[in-house]
Amino acid sequence: MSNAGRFLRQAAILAAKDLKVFLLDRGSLLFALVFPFAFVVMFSLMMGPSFGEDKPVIVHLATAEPEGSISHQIIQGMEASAEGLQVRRLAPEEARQALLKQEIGGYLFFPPGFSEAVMRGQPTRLTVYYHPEAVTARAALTSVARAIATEIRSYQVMYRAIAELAGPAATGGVPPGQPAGAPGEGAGGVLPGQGARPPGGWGPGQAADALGVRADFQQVGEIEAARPVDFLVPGYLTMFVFFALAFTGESLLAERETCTLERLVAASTSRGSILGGKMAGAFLRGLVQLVIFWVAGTLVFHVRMGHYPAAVVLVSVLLTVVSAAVGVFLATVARTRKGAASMAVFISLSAAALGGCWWPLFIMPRWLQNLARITPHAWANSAFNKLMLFGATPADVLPEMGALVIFAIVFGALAAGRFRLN
Amino acid sequence: MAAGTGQVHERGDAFVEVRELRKVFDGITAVDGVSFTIQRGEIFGLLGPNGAGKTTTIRMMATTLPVTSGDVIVAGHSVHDDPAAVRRHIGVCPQELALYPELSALDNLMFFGLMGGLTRAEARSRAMENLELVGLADRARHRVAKFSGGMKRRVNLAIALMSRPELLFLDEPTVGVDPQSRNHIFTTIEGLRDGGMTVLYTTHYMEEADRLCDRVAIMDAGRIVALDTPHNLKARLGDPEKVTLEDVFLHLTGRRLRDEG
Repeated sequence: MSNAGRFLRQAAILAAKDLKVFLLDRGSLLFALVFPFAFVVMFSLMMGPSFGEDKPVIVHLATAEPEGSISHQIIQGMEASAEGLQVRRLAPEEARQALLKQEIGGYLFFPPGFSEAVMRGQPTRLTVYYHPEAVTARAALTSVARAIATEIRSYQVMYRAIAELAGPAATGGVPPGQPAGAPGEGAGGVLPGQGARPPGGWGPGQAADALGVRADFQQVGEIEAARPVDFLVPGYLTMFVFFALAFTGESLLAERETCTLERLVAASTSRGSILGGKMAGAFLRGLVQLVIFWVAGTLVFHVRMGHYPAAVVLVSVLLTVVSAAVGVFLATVARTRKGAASMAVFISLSAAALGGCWWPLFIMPRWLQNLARITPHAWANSAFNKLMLFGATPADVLPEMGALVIFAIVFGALAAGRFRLN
Repeated sequence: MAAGTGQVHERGDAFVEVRELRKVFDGITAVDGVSFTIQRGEIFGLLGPNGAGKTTTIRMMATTLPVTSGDVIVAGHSVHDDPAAVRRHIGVCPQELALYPELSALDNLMFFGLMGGLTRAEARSRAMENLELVGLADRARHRVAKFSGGMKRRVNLAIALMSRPELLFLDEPTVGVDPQSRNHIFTTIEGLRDGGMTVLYTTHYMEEADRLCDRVAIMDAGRIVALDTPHNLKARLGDPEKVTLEDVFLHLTGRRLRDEG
């Protein structure tokens, strides 16, 4: 057998042994798999069904533009067609006062010149004003804003493509590549009802759709109130996956203290195999936790994993890799099993509190959110919250995933550098 | 030519040759120029008070602790130059219970067999043979955590035999066991010796060494202070029928209390 084959075989056998030991140890199972759910149930009950916001979600919208503008058409469209969501239009000052008095959780604001910027293909922005405690309102408004922006962007792209295919005549003499409807180039031709028509032509009522002012919630899924379990389950998953580094550290130090490590060395087990096997074992143990967490979370607690469950699972897996690397690193720092356990508890608890496992990161002060970035917990929870509460896409959480990969590489390298057989 | 990188050393009658072996920990010399040989099929006793350097010597011979200077040649291979080749010839039964209490006896043996390169079928078959040998076949699937001290010691020994070693290191294999288990272990070791296995045995129990060992080396303060057959060692002090090996041991190492080491 080649060295690589021998390495992989020994690492796999060692990892399988560690997993079996874990599964046969009732105390460890209780701690790693049962305790977290007890915490989730307890905190869910304490926090109520949806952070105290038991009313149906109402999305408040305000525009500073005159009647007939695109923003008004968007609001009308949403009032007419939004399913599972109540939309209420407010005047800008009325919305501002209502938010200041905390009568509403937040509102989405269309600024002056929004319609003109959209028609010219220029960047513009939608602003979401929200109270920090109004998690549900913020989630709903963020999703609505993202949906509108996506929709407009896609229609702008489509319009330009059609205009370029139709040639200069269709764009009022604008050469291909330039924004249609630029000032002085017949911008009025793209206003609703005044439209320069693509080949085939539109009816007057369709022109508005062609400009991308339709609000279609299918793009982001239905918006429901966030519930405590939607952040408690990933939060406690993060915390307890990291608590498992106590098992990893203890397991490696126990091998040393009971001389099984010596026995393994005498059986021609390489340093790399032992290190790889220990990390793989910790990773497998974490995977067991993940599977149980997500299956029970979904079936028992009805946790919503957002629009990209695979991304949520990927973040969980990366988190487990980090935990495995930190666990082995811990074993190279601690001198005894008790020392490793104490360090693991201290690290896990402090990082869990700082990293948003017990309460959502986004309700913490900005400076504390920044400080929390020193923990893998914060990156993981940020990714979970984005994906599960705010309708983010996998691309939106790439920074978080990248940070977790860096944590894994750094701690894995430190563990490999420090690990000694003797 | 031996496998690995080390050169092949000329074999004499000795299966193991320890040459001026030395180990220094943070300026403290634990083993100080120890030399001896062990013949194939011999049970060689290494005796000494706590801190004499017995376990350190065994660990260097078993390749689990690097030597400071000197060398050990096992079956023609140097622990310094070719530890991998040495490991193919040895089995180690440490003083500690080097096993996993959460697993069954069978799982413990199979794990070490698999790590040593056996297939699953080979590991299972050999594990059952070894458990039979140490009298635990009927408890193969029981968790080791539930075993008595003597049973755990026997599992510890059975694991060391998984690789079918030519040289077996037994570091105080009878500590804390009842007379029945101890007797079973003696019988097992004698059977292994009769089968051609070479054994290096350390113990604090002098009557064990007297019964089992063909030759005995007595260590003190990292050095060998005497090396001979138990009979000849006893004859140095008087009538071998009346003098015990413990008398010889105390005569050579003194009656001063020793710290653990």
